[in-house]
Amino acid sequence: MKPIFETLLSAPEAGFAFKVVRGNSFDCLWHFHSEFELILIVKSGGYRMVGDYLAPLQPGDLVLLGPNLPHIYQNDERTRGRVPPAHALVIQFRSDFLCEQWVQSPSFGPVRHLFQHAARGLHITGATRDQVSATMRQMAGASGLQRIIRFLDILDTLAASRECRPLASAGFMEGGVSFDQSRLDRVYRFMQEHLDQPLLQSNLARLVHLSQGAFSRLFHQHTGMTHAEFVNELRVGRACRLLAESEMSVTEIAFACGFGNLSNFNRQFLRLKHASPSEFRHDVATRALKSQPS
Amino acid sequence: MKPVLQRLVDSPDQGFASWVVRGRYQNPLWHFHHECELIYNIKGTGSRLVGDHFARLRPGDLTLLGPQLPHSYHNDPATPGRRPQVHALLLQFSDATFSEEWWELPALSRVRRLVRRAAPGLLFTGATRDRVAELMRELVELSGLQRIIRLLDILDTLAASRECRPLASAAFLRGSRRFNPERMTQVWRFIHEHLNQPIFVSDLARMVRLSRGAFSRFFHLHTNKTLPLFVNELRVGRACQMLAEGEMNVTEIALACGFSNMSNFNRQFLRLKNTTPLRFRREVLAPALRSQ
Repeated sequence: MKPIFETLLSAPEAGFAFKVVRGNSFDCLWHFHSEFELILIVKSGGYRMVGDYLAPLQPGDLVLLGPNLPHIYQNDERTRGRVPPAHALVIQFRSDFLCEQWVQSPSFGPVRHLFQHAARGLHITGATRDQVSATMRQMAGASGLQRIIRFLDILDTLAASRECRPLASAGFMEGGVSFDQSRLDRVYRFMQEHLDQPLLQSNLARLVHLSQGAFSRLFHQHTGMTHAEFVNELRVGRACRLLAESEMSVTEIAFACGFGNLSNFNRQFLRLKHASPSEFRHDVATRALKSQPS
Repeated sequence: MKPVLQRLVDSPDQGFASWVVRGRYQNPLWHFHHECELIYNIKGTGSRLVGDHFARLRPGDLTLLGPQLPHSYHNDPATPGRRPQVHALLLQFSDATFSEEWWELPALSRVRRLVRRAAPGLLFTGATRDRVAELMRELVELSGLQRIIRLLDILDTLAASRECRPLASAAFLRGSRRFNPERMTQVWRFIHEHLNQPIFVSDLARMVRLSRGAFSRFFHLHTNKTLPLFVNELRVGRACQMLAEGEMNVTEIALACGFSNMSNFNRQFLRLKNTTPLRFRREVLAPALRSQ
């Protein structure tokens, strides 16, 4: 099941849109688009899937999606009375909506960082969530320039916040991880390209001309993980994508993602996704994608 | 002859410049530039010439000058023993502040109109002035997105306001193609420096190498006034300031402002202010005294 590419902004020159979505469902397929999207759930049950991250939907849920990140929102509440069960506020914008000379000014570092981080989708919580939700609600009543001002305020709040957690696995979105250090960037690209093969620490260390010990320290310093943990997350992330989007069997997927044997695949998958690969595939198919036309 | 073009800030952060002026206005010349300029005069008195509009500059004045509009802000000379008192906030923005896509946004259409409406210069008053003053104070302290948000808020507030009136006349804007800002700057500076002395058309004409007739036409084109009328307004304006400060007596003030006799001072004062110097002083000082 491949995600569908969508073009969102009806007037592309605007580069920015605010929408109120109300209805029986979100009317949304497993899809992606080149615009950023900030989605606030005012009311809905059901599930959302962002990349390989499947989670139940509840009112107040706030997510920022980067460009080209596949996602689906699925409401499963029934209509009671006249109030439609699905209600969300959505902001869509292109990364070039902000003027070039602003983004390049040194004080825009946090915003540039936010845009990079959003590639995997960000779940926003706590006081940041409350503040951004309040501003989004005000946007419904504002018009013209005031709406843009509120939007910029939201970007500023998000860029300054630490209450943003990535959703999709690093392995799901290529380029979902970015290192300020070009050395680690090279390692990360190498991992993405050779994920179906064994990735030995000694080979990676040699790639960037470091001893194994120095490589290990540098890697842990920047990712907070050992090289083995990181590679496993990448492999499981890619496996999730294949489980959701392809017709390949679980065994084929395990090998395509570089797992040498099935029991290791199952163990790692269970540890990271709290389900077996076939359960994950089943969940995605029945909960998240059930409205998908065949 | 093409007028002098000034560009005050070479590469402003994020495409627009903002700064605080303390002491005195740095550029008292009659000049213009491509940038729109928003000037909030917090403290300090003096005079401003915007196109052919000429007025006393007062604390709290908020003016928006459109692109290419010739102007000059001039503070009064400092009282001996005191430091010059100007405290002002400036903001300059231009076409380059926003990308072309931004200027075409429907949300910015009011701002586009505001820039056109500011061609003769606009003086903002009331709640608009207070709100924009507050935003300008915040803006000079900020960076990043918040600085841009304040700029947009300022422009939106100004664009939505009806508490404003144009400064220069329509006739001035039509005639502005024939201006000679260098020459006018020379004249303007001379008048300011010699306000306490007699000022004659013949002296000024000789200084800028024009015949008396040509000078009179030149002066009228730029200010929409004759030289004596212009100089009298400037002198009465400065006299009002001194009367309000309350330190010199009326005769001293008349002489310090370049009036050679009292009856001329009183006549000019009455004509422009509809009151006598003494009554003016009493009216200005009375509330201050009562509050003590």
